[in-house]
Amino acid sequence: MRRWIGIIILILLFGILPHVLSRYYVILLTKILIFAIFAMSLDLLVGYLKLPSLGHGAFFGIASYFIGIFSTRVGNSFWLNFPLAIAMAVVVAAVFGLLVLRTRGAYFFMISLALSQMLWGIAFSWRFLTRGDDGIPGISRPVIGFLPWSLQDPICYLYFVLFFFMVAFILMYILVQSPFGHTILGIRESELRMRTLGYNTWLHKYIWFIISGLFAGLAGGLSVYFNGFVSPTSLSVAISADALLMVLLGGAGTLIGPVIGAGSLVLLENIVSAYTGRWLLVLGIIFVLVRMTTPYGILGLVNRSGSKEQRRHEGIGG
Amino acid sequence: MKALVVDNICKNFGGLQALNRVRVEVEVGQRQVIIGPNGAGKTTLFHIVSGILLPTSGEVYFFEENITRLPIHLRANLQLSQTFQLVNLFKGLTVLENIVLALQSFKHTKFTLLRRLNGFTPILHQAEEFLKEWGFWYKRHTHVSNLSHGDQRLLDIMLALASQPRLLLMDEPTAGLSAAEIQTITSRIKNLSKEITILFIEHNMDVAFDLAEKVTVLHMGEVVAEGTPAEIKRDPRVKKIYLGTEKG
Repeated sequence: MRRWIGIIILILLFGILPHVLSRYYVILLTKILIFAIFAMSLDLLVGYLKLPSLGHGAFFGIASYFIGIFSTRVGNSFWLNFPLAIAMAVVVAAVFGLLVLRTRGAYFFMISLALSQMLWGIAFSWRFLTRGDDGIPGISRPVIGFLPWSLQDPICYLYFVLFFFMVAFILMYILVQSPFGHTILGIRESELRMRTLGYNTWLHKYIWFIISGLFAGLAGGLSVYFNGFVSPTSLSVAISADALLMVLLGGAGTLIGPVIGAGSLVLLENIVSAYTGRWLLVLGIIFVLVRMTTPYGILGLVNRSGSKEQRRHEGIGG
Repeated sequence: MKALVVDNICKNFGGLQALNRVRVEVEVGQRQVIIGPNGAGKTTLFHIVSGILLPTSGEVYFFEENITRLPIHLRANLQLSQTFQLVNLFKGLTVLENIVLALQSFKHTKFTLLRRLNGFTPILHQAEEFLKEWGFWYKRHTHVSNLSHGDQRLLDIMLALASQPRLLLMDEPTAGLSAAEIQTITSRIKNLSKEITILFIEHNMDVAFDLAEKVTVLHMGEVVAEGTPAEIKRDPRVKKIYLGTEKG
C-alpha cells in the first residue's frame, strides 16, 4: 500500500513539477536523475558487495566519450551509438574486473582509482581522438524518429532521462532481490562461507561488477547528450568521488539512498555555490555531520525507527 | 571404501612445521574425531581438507579422487561440507536467507538475475521443510546476529547439511556452548543419517568419546595415536600428552 502511494506521488510530482519549475530547475532535476543512476550503479559495488570503488567514473566516462567521438565523426544515430556506448562500458568493466576483483578493501579502492586514471590519461593526451582537455563540443541530442517532441527541449529531455531512470531503478530493484542478488549479499557477509557452500564467488562478483559498469555506462551516455560536451572530467577522479559521496551521503546498501544522495549533492552544489565559492567546505561539514549522526546516511535519518532489516532490503518470504 | 584419505601431509608456515607427514583415513559412514592439545595442527589439517590451505607436500583423496589442489567451491560441489571453529554465517541476513543460500548453491537458479527470489516457491518450500525439521521455522525472519550462540552453532551445521554432504567436517561443534546446548547438538549429530561420514575436532572429551567411533590423536603436528575411544582412554601416550607426566 505504502509503495503504491509513493508511486502515485512520484507520478504526480514528475507530471506537474517540470511545468511549474523554472528552466534552471528542470535542468538541475535532469542532472540529478542522471547522477542518481550513476550513484545507484556504484552502490551495487559499495553497498551490496562492500567494495569501495574510486574508479567508477571509468565506465561513465568511456560511454560519454564513445558517443562524443562517434556522433561527431561517424554519425549521430542514437540507436547505434547509445547501445554501443553502453556495450563499451561493459567491455571496459569486463577487463577491469579481471584486474580489480583480486583485491578488496583499501587495495580495491586504490586499484580502481589507478585503472580509471589510466583512461583519464588516455583521454587527456590522445588529442587526435579526444582533443585532450579541450574536450569534444557540439554533441547534439539524438533525434528519435517516433517521438513527436524534440529532445532539445529541456522538459522533453527530462522525461527522456526519467524513462531511463525508471527502467534502471526497476531493473536494479529486481536484481538486488533476485537469487543472484542474494548470492551477492552472501558474499558480502562471508565470502569464505559462500565458497565452502559451493559458490564460485569470483564469478559472481565479476558478473555483478560488469552489471554495475553497464548502468554506469547508461548514466554516462545520458550525461553526454545532456551536456552536449565531453572532456576528461567525465573520466576523472572527481566524478568518481562525487558518486561515492552520493552513495555514502544518501545511504549505501539501498537503492533509494544513492538517489537521495545524488539529489542532495547536486542541489547543494548549485544552491550553495550561488552564495559562496567555498561550497566544498560546506559539503565537507554536511558530510561529516551526516556520518556522525547516522552511519546509514540521510536515509538512515529518515528511517531512524526502521531498523537494519528495513533499510537493507525487503527480505524474502516476508 | 574410504571417504577421506589424508596422505602424508606436511604443512609449513615459514619455519614452523604445523603438520608433519600426517596420515588420516576415514571410512565411509564413520564418525571420527580428531583430538589434541592447542596448537596440535587440527584446524590446519581441516583447512587442507577443505581447501582453505594448500599443503606443502602430500595428497588428499576424497572418495578416491585426488582433491589436493581443487578450489574450495569445487570440493563443496563434490559434497564435502564444513562448519567452522568460529561460527561463520551470513550475519546480516535472516535465518531463512542463510538457508536459502545454502540450498541454492547447487541449483542453476542461483544465476537468475531478473526475477525476485520471492517467486521461487520450490526452494522456499525446501527451506521451510528443512527449518521446520530443525525447529527453526519460527525464527526464520530473525537476523542471524540476533541468534544465541547455540542457535548460531546449530545453523552453522544446518548450512553444512543443506547440501547433503557425503563428508561433513566440523571444527569444534560444541565450543562455547552451555551443557544444555551441548546436549542438543550431540543428539542432533547422533541422529544424522549414516550416509554422512563425519570427521570432527573436539576439545570436550565427553562429547568426543560419546560421538566418535574412532579417535585420532594429533600432537605437535603428528598423529601419535589412533583407535577406538576405549583404546585411546587407556593409551599411556595420550595420558602423557594431556596430563603432562614428564615433570610430575
